[in-house]
Amino acid sequence: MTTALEVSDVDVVFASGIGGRLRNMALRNITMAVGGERSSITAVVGQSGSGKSTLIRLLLGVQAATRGSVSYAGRPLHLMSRKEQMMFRREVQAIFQDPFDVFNPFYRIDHALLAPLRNFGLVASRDEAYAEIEQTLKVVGLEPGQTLGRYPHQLSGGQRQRVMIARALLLDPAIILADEPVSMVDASLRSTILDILYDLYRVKGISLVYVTHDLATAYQVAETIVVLNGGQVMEVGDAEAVIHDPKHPYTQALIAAVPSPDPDIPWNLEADPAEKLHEVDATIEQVLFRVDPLRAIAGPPDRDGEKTTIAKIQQAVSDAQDVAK
Amino acid sequence: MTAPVLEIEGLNVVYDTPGGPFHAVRDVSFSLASGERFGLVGESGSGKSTTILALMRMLRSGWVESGKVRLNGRDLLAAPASAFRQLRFAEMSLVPQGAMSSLNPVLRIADQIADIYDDHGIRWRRGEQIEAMRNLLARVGLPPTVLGFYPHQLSGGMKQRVCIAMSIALRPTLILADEPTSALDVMVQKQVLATLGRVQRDLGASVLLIGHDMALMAHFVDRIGVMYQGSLVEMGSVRKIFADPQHAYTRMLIDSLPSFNRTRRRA
Repeated sequence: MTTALEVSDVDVVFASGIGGRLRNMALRNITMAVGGERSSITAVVGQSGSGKSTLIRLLLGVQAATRGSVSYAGRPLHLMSRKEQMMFRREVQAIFQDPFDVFNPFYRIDHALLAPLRNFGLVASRDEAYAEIEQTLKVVGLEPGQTLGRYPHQLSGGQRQRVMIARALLLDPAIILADEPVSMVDASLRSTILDILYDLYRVKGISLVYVTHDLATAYQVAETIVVLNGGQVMEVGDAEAVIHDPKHPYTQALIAAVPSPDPDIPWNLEADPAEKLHEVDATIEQVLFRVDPLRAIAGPPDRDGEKTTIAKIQQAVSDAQDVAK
Repeated sequence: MTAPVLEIEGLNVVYDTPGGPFHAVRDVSFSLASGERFGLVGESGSGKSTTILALMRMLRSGWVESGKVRLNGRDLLAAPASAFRQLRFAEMSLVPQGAMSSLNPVLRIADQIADIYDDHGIRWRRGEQIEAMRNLLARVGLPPTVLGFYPHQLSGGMKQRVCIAMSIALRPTLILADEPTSALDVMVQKQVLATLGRVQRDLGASVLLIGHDMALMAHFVDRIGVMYQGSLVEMGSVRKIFADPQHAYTRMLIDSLPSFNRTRRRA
């Protein structure tokens, strides 16, 4: 059975100050889908404060929507029964940025892997649990003998992040939400971890949302890229097109800020990267307009053109991939 | 050919651990010419941060076992503590890794900068100091109002630029920067690096930049040194290192760089 996690026309507003007078729109007019008929891999990129992490929290159901709704398998998250919630919590897994923070330092690694298996009643015995765990650790490239029985501080950041992926995998998820999973891992290990995530999508058909500020790694794994700025989508489209032919000035500035791995390609370090941005004001409401079959960019709501959503572009990109095969 | 600003010869640093002494830096030697940008790369635990902490005498539970360090011809390791204190900021300054946690949260920015001047016994006529501090902030592209702010009122990139401003307050000949942009997003990272590059050029100072992002290094420094398990395994000009990496670890660092020309999807 295939199930989709859907965000329909959501705003998230954080109110602060006396009587909530200061309103900060963390997300605005977001409609997107993860999973469903065909598994997908979507990257969400943006600067600090663009709303990336709020989006992940929204998808996980730990952040309520101020307007609109989030639903899984057709059921709004906030109306789920206990049983439905258990299913949601098992099938939608998260991997977070900091591989040092997420482990309880007083427990061995085994605990982090055994507890979810037990809590969801997925194994009948300890032996069965360990058999599962050992097999899953191998999938993420870890040697069970050198991982189990150790404490978190005895493993490197890359190893710990792989244990987190293994923990998510043990629950046989349909969707994995990854919030900056490689930004705190050594550069030399990043591509290994991205390979593992990509294989989960390709081999196991797990849908992924990859949230990052690093456009280059987003391009490496994603089929659709969503560019977020100030809580609104600036551009969304097929990864290839967004990276090699960015249409929105914000996307162009973001791409120009990434240093090329080739020292001979100039980076214009002295040029002011904010130059292009004065024409992008994230506080004004913007909606998405389709500019070609696989792409949409933001514009003022009163402009003429075909209005669209992230979800529709995701669907179009996904359909185009099917045709290519 | 001018005399080198910094010369390190056969530096060995050892940490005390419960399991016995741990040799974190092994026989590291390199030097920086005046105005040169040198990058030190390596993964976590390779000894790159330890190397500059040793230079700044900021090692905790570790000590320099042997080696020579000369800054502008003076033997740093032999300098008495009082002399060394005068030399920090004035001849050699550090831009720390975590700008988030390296500013004092209960002092305004102006007071933190003034602290550097006070500590070095610089006397000002009325109004001169505030003018100097305004100029300092202007150099790193921050408005003078920042002087009245507390650190929590600034973004990560602004804090890092305050740290750069502090590091150049006394016009040092050498700026040590320990992964100054690792906590920042790409756009802010570029701004901060551009700022560092600009002030470095204005001052004619040398920069020792530490990091593990080879792509950043490629566009910022002149020469790269690669550290692996405490040793300096390779050193050369950026172009030479990228064109013909000798050590397997260097090759892996370069090959693992994400690029807009490579993707898993069609692999």
